[in-house]
Amino acid sequence: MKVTIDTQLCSGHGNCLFAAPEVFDLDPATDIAYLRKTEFSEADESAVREAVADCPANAIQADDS
Amino acid sequence: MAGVRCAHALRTAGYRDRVIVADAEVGLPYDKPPLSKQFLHPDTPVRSLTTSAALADAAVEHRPGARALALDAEQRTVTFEDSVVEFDKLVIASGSTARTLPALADPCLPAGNIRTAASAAAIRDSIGPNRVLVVVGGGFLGLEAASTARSRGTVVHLIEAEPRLLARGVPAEAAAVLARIHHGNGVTLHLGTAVTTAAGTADGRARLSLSDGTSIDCDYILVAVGAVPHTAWLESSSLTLTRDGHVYCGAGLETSVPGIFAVGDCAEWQNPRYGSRMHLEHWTSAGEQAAFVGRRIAGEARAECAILPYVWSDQYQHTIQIAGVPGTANTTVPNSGTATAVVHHHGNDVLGITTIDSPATMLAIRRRLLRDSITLESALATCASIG
Ligand SMILES: Cc1cc2nc3c(=O)[nH]c(=O)nc-3n(C[C@H](O)[C@H](O)[C@H](O)COP(=O)(O)OP(=O)(O)OC[C@H]3O[C@@H](n4cnc5c(N)ncnc54)[C@H](O)[C@@H]3O)c2cc1C
Ligand code: SF4
Repeated sequence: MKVTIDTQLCSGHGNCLFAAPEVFDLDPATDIAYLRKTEFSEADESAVREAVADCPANAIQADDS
Repeated sequence: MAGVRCAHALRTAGYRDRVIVADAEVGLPYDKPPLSKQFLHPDTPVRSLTTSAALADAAVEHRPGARALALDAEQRTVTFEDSVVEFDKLVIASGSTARTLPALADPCLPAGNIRTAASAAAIRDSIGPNRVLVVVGGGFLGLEAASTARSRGTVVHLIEAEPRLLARGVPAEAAAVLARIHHGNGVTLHLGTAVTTAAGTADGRARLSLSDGTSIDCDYILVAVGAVPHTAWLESSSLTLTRDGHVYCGAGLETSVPGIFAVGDCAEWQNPRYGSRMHLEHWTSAGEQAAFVGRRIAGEARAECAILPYVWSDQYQHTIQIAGVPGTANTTVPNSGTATAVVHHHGNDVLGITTIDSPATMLAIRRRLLRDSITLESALATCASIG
C-alpha cells in the first residue's frame, strides 16, 4: 500500500492519529500530519483505510499496490 | 455522509449481501462541512464523499434521487416514490434539516438556510462586494458563512438572540474571543437581538426590523438557527422517536426495532462513555457511528458505541476545535494572539476542551481524554507546556 498525505489540504485535525496511531503523527512544529513508517502490516492497512475516511480534509491518499 | 461511510464500512468488514444506499439528493453524495466554507467561493465544486468507481468496486447500489417516504418496521420495507424496497437490516442516516423562523418564513423573501449544496449556492450567488448579507444565528454555520462572506467583501450583519455567540456547547470565554475575531474582521454583531419583521422590497431585496429598533436593508438573509432531525418520514412507523424527533437508539445504535439502526445527525443514543443519552451533529462522530454500525452488521462483536465528541470549525484563518462535553466550570489558558485553550471541568475532573488556533494542545488533551481521566492540574500543565 502506498500512502500519501497532502500537506496543503491537511489541517491538523488529528483524526488520522486516532484511527491509525501506528501510522500517523502530527508534527508539533507545523501541526501537519506525517507518516511514521513506509512499510505497512495488514493491521496498519485497515487502520489506514479508516483514517482515509476519518480525515475531514480528505488529505490522505491510500493506493493498494 | 454517514450512509456512504456505513456502506463502505460494511464491505471493509466483509459483509457479502446486497447493499443499497438511497439518497434523496441527486448526483454523488457530497460532504457538508465545505458548504459553509470553501464552497461559498465562486466556481468551487462540491466535495464528493465517494466515486462511482469506488461504489462499483464495493458493489454498493447507489440510488440518487430516491427519497424514502415511509418505513414499515414489521414488514421490513421502505417505500419510495416509485418502489418498495425490502430489507433485512436498515441503517437510518437521513441527517438533519434547517430549523425555520416564523418571522422569516415568507417564500417571497430572499432568504434561505445552508444545509444542502443548492441552498449554499443561493448564498454564494448573493454575496460579494457591495452586497449586504444578514446572518440570523450565531452558531457555527452562521459564523462560518459570515467569515467567508466577509472574505469576499460582503457587508455582513450577524443577529443572535442570545447575549453571546455559540451559546450551545462553546464556553463563554472562547465565544468572546470569536466575537472579537468577527468584529475585527468587520462583521456587525447584533447580540441579544431578534428579528421582529421582515419584508421583501420591490427590487428583490429585503428590509429587516430588529428588536433593538434598528432596520437593515439587505440582499440576502441566511437563516442559521440550528437543525432538526430529518425524521418526519418515520413518524408513521412503529420506531420510537424522541420528543424532538431523533431516532431513539440503545448503546449499540440499534433502534427500538431489532435490526434497524440509526446513525449521524438523526440519531439519539446512549453514549456508554458518559452513561447518558446524546445526539451529536458533528461530522467525526457521524463517521464513527456509521463505521461502528457497518462493523456490527457485518458480525463484529462489539455491542456498544462509545464516542468522545469532537467538532471543528474554520473561520477566517482561525481554527476552533472542541473535544469532550461541557463541564460545570471552565478554566482559560490564554496564549499568544488569538490562541486560547478553555478546559471544561467539573471540580477537578476534566470533561472536555475548547481551543482556538491551538491544534497541538487539542490533540494532546483529546488523546488523554480518550485514554483515561485527567485532573485539572495535569490538563493545565499540558496546555502550558505546549503553549
Ligand atoms: C454547512 C454545514 C457545515 C458543517 N460543518 C461542520 C464542521 O465544520 N465540523 C463538523 O464537525 N460538522 C460540521 N457539519 C455537520 C456535519 O456535516 C454533519 O454532522 C454530518 O454531515 C452528519 O452526517 P449525516 O450522514 O447524519 O447527515 P448528512 O450528511 O446530512 O446526510 C443525510 C442525507 O440523507 C438524505 N436524506 C434525508 N432524508 C431522506 C429521505 N427521506 N430519503 C432519502 N434520503 C434522505 C439527505 O439528502 C442527505 O444526503 C456541518 C454541516 C453543515 C450543513
Ligand atoms: S486527519 Fe487529515 S487533516 Fe487531520 S491531521 Fe490527519 S491528514 Fe491532517
